[in-house]
Amino acid sequence: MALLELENVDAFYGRVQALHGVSMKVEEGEIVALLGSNGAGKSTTLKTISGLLRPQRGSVTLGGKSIGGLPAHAVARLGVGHVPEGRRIFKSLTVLENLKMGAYPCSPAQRASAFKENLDYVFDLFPRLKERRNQRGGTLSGGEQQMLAIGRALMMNPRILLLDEPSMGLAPLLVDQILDCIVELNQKKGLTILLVEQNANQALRIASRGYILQVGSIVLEGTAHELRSDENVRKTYLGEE
Amino acid sequence: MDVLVQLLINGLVAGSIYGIVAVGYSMVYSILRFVNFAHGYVAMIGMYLAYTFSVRMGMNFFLSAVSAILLSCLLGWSVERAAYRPLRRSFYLAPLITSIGVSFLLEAIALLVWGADIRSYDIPVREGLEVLGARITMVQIWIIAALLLSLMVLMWLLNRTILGVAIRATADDQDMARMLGVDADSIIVVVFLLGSAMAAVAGILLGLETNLQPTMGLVVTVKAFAAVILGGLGNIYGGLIGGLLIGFAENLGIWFIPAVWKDAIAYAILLVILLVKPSGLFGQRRESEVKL
Repeated sequence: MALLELENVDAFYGRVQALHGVSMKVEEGEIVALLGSNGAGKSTTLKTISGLLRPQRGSVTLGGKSIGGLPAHAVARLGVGHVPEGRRIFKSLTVLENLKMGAYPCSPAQRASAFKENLDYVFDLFPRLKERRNQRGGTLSGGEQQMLAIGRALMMNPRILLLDEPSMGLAPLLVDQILDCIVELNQKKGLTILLVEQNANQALRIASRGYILQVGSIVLEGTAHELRSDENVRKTYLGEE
Repeated sequence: MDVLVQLLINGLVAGSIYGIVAVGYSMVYSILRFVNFAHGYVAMIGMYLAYTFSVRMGMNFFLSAVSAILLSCLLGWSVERAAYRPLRRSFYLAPLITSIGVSFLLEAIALLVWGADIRSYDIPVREGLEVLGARITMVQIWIIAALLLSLMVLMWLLNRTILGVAIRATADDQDMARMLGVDADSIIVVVFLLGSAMAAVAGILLGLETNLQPTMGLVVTVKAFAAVILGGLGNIYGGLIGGLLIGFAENLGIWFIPAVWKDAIAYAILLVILLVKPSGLFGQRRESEVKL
């Protein structure tokens, strides 16, 4: 059984249909890439998983349990970690407070026992955050905010991490660093990751499988190798002639 | 010199009272993006409830105050539940207009229950203290102590507890907070309970400092609103500082102009800030979001 599974999901913004029968699954321990151009419905898919948007039809399940239509806070408490588009750091909270919020979905007992350990782990992963722990989130650079967004999502020991365009707006060197870190999380921590990217090249380098969204429908799926060698994908998403 | 110290003390007392009411406005605004006009009227009801318990029923004043604060929390919570929650997804002016309606309702209730006559808590006046030539009454000392305590509790709650961090996170970015397991509706309930408790504290202290009148609701509302605008809408601490500044401005102002103009000073500050810097002293500039 897949850890996360979407089956025939339709979602709407008001009266506009944004997702048309989207089906996809993420197995335990995988990195799965969700690719597509701007407006293809990648973020909408994530919003439907996280509970910010209700699926009108179809099912969303996490570890066999239906989460479609649950409020966002309940989905988070079931272990879905988010690194949203634009990072959405709490700007007026300090770095440390942002990380504390990351542990919010845990029960008080869990929070007490695992907080220190998770904090050390995040500070180990991103020493920069440790240096800036008392600085306000809004004063961090783009790269640091991305680190904080990932660190915050790790604080709850998520069962699955949803990453929305983690490379957006970052310098190439930082993009590599963030991608390396995603791979490390997957390999060392065994963390399951759903990675949404416009930058298909980068995403397919680290993912094992991928889906391609076009105007709200999955048009292609396969292993990263299959997608990379697909004629259309190369032309449309990898920018090759 | 002694007059100046006296005015400064009066300013500190009035300013902190406006400030703690203003915090309630800012918290609600920063999360729900509407100005809850009824908030100052909750302060007025709290003020009268303490009167009922202490003067009419003869309870000990401290117990009366605590009971009044608890009942005011219940009032704030009921108003949120009955009047604002059903409007959560409606036109953005609907909750604001509703809150003005709630204000009228609360004032009418106060008039019916307690009448239009000026009342007081009948606390015996005792010898005050002399500080640098100025006279502070025992009541004023109690007011300052209660204000400091309330502020400390509030600061502790907002800065040192996970609930407070969650309140500030929800104010920053509600959807992100929800994606981290924060149930926004419970946070809103907490904010109304906390705000109403602070409002009731302020109302009771104001009643001790001056007198009790149903029109106090409007006075508190306007002063605290001016404090919130001065400090910057949506900035929780901005309102507190704005309140202190207005308290000082009013009381130092009457050194220069006749005391009958005291209330006009808050209005003047409100107008000037709205004209010159509508985002307030500490507010971020988010014009598209400012909804009055």
